[in-house]
Amino acid sequence: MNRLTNLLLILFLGTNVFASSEHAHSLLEPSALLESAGYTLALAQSTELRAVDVLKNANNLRNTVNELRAKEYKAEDDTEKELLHAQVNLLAEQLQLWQNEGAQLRQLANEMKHSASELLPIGFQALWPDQLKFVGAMQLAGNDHAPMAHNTTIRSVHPTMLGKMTDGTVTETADDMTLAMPSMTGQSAPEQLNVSTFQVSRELHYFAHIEPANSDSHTIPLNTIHQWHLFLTDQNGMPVSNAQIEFSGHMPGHVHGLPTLPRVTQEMSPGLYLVDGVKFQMKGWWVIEFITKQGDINDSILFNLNL
Amino acid sequence: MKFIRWVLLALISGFTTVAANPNQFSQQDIALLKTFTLSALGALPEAPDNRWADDDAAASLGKALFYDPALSRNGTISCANCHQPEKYFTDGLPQSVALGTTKRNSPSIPNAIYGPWQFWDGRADSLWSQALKPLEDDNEHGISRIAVAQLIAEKYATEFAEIFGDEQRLADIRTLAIDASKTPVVSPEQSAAVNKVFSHVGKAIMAYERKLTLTDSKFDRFVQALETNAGNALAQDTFNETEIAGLRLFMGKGNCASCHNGPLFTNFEFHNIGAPEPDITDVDLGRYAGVETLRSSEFNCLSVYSDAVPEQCDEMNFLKTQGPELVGAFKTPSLRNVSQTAPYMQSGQLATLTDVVAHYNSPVPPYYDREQHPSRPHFDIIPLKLTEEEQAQLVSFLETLVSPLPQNNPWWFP
Ligand code: HEC
Ligand code: HEC
Repeated sequence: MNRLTNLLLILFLGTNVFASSEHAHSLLEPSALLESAGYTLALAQSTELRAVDVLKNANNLRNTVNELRAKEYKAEDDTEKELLHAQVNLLAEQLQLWQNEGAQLRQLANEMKHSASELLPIGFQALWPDQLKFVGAMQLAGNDHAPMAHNTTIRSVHPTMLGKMTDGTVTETADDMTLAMPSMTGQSAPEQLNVSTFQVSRELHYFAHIEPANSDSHTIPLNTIHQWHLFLTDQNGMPVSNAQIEFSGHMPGHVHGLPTLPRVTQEMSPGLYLVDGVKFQMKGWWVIEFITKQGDINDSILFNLNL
Repeated sequence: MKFIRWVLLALISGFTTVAANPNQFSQQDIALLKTFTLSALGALPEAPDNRWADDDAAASLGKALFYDPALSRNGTISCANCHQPEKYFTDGLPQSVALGTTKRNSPSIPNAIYGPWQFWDGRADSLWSQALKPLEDDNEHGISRIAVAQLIAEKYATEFAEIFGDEQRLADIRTLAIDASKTPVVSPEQSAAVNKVFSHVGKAIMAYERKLTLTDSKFDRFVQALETNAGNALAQDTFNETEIAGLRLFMGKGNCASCHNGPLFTNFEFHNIGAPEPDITDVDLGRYAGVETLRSSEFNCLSVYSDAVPEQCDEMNFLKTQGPELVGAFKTPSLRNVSQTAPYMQSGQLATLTDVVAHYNSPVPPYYDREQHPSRPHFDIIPLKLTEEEQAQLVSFLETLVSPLPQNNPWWFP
């Protein structure tokens, strides 16, 4: 960390974003881990905003520097040229500092997000030691080597796309197979896709974890209605009761949604909800969204599944 | 021999790309192919809405009802008119003909017993509620449920009393006026008795249909042979080169397996593949309309005639009721025995498998009429660009999915 970031951190320590003594907690409290994750994420968010700010200012400064350079180039009077030259040099030095600062803040924000996300699984386990069963990504049953995972190229196409679709199916062959399968080009999940079943909501109000309700298996069946458990806490790691939760799911790159209308059918214990009616008719990249409403707080939690 | 030919071919083609040996399948290939064989089928689906689904006495009774032409307005139409055992329970016609002509094509029943939905648009959620529709349809059996109940009281009283405990109900039904020319006056109790007996007709037929199991096809035997021969297709004589090429196309470039998958070659879901609209003046809305009929059905899983508690009716409880992907979408049909069940598509629009593959090769977007469609139908397929030869290979593969008619399965034939 450089001097400036240190300085910034110290600045943050003084702001009300930071924990005052009432936030101090014994680490034995089950909610403590999620609470600190919540704090780190809030910090990451303000750091990210600072980064955006600094980089925006740097951008403006760069434009100014470029304008001055153009002026310097055109200047006919030597003293004016020299003066402009000195200005350009000094400002360019500033620009460099600002850009570094912006980049470092951004990296710091990412590190904080990453570190918070690593806290989530153990945070949830501390809260629900008996109920929470699985921490890994959701997988389809019988899909260990994913033979069909290549095979999801059903595209909903608009007639205006017909002209573009004249290449036929693009296929690819997995290393351990000889059968070529339609490739998922254009619809496959991005490589760095976050498929964690532990997520923070868009507005940072909630933490959530999903897992198959069938405690015998961490896998979910294809083409079969099944249930999930949804664990929900607020940003302080306290279980959230009586939340109104809507479920939606779609496959990016397809126009299709889910073949059923799943919903939360029951709050089994505070913060632990039963989601019923889930069914996937296709392998591939699914995006699942829980839209939550609690008083005036509207928020949503996204999960990526790579089935 | 085959191998030498392949080596020669590979040499001639100059190994521009590393030519894969089409006759060698890997362990993962076999694992994938096994998910398409009958061995992956598993037990019949649970049927909490029909307590007699696996009752042998009900199945025998169901068989009698299935083949009984007395269950029709003119005494000549039975289920078997349109679902003929030697044609894998289809009738070979584009649209079926009985008292009138149906709107759609008759599907193969043995393929249907594993699916959550019945009919092309899935407007029934069980085989028993499905069976009741053709009985009352004017183009099919054209007989009222009261007349059905009266016939049961006359002809099948012992069986219905024994199996379903319908003795009292049948007694109530006998007190109804028999005069067919008049609409009988029916009390609420009699009406309940009629509906209950009527639902038992469906439940017996369903128990029968669940006995119509399939035997291994050439494809199933091919996958078994691959397994015994470590994936070497030259060590078997079930599939020839054309069929192997067709299989590879089906899974790959043809993209067929994305919908036609699992042991019955169907995901049982609804898609619009742009099959030609049979009648553009009266478009078929498919699943979009089917969902509405299903919800208002008096015999669905949530109804009083179902033996299930509502919590067991998962598909109904989480039914998808909206979405443009329902418009003009039809249930993916099984491809088992498909070469024996021409013509094809929901109204028999395509005569041969060659026509079907040609359709997939150069699909035309679905017909759209803003006056008739609630929204533009989604279209689920892309052109394949297969050569004539590849199309023929795909057809050859489809022809390997025939289960020999089970001559010694007493359930199958009358
Ligand atoms: C007039 C011909 C005709 C008669 C008689 C008839 N069916 Fe059908 N059957 C059809 C047609 C056509 C369809 C498809 C209708 C649709 O999807 O709208 C069908 C659909 C079915 C299906 C659904 C299969 C699937 O894959 O969705 C089953 C099961 C079935 N019939 C059983 C029966 C039984 C049992 C009877 C006697 C009670 C019967 N049918 C009488 C023509 C007939
Ligand atoms: C998007 C899903 C989907 C894909 C991909 C698909 N099918 Fe289909 N298939 C269907 C549906 C749905 C129907 C019924 C459509 C209708 O009646 O309008 C059907 C009907 C058929 C039929 C007629 C069966 C009958 O009994 O009438 C055949 C044969 C068939 N498909 C073969 C294929 C082949 C071969 C491929 C690959 C080239 C393929 N399908 C790809 C969904 C699909």
